[in-house]
Amino acid sequence: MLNILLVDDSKTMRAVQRRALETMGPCSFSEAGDGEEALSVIGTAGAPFDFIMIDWNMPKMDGLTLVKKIRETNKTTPLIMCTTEAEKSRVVEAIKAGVNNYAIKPFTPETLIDRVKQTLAKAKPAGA
Amino acid sequence: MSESATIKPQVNQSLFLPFFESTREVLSMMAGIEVKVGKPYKKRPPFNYYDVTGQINFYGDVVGVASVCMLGDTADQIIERFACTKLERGTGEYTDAVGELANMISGSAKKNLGVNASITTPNVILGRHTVVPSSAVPCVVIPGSCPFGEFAIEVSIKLVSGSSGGR
Repeated sequence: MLNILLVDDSKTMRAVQRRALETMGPCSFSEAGDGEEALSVIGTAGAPFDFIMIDWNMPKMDGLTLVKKIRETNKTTPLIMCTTEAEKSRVVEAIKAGVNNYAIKPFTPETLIDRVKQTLAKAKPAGA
Repeated sequence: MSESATIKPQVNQSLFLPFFESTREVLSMMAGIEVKVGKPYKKRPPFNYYDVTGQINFYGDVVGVASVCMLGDTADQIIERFACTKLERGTGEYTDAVGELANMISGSAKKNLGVNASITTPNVILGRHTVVPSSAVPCVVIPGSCPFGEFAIEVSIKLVSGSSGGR
């Protein structure tokens, strides 16, 4: 079962993402509405997340800051930025900060799943 | 939705044309709604009335606001398709969905503006209202229609002096 953290200030968007990702198989979801809440969820989670999906524009703490904070202590959990921020400069900025993959809103469920599969395939060496 | 003044040349088309495609793309991909976009016009009084509006502010090389404006029944059905569940107007979930729709339309348009701009988190207006544009920024109304009725994207953004953007 995939253990997933969805971080987005829109509850609707988290529900849209959840519906798409559930088609991949059994999933366990945790959710946060901003970067600060996400850090709290990560800090109290019983098990590590298989990946974290992060929006960019959020109140309190934005997604880019959250990525940097996570990477201060955790280099391995795959991070996927899922955002409307589609300019190349933003993508580069996010990758430099430590995201593993990038999904641009709007997306089809297939596109989102594809990004997740790409990310997990790179994170786990074949046969692992 | 009867305002019909034609666009004057001083309105920078590159600042509102990206909203055509972003509106089509977002509603098609996220809600399965096919949209027809009509001829844009410069907003002037008397202003249209709406029941549901999601607004996103722009800052950086462009400043201003983009508004996704809908009448109640149309909004309810678009939001139901977007959220994949019936949401009651006035609830937090409904407001959230309107805001996210506006966020995606504006965010998706932003990448094609050709400028370095940022957007704010959304502001949502519910209840019968008009959207009064700033006198300092031209406002273009992009009328749209879908199987659930008509809606409008009102784009009131301008280049900041000294920026060289806008395609």
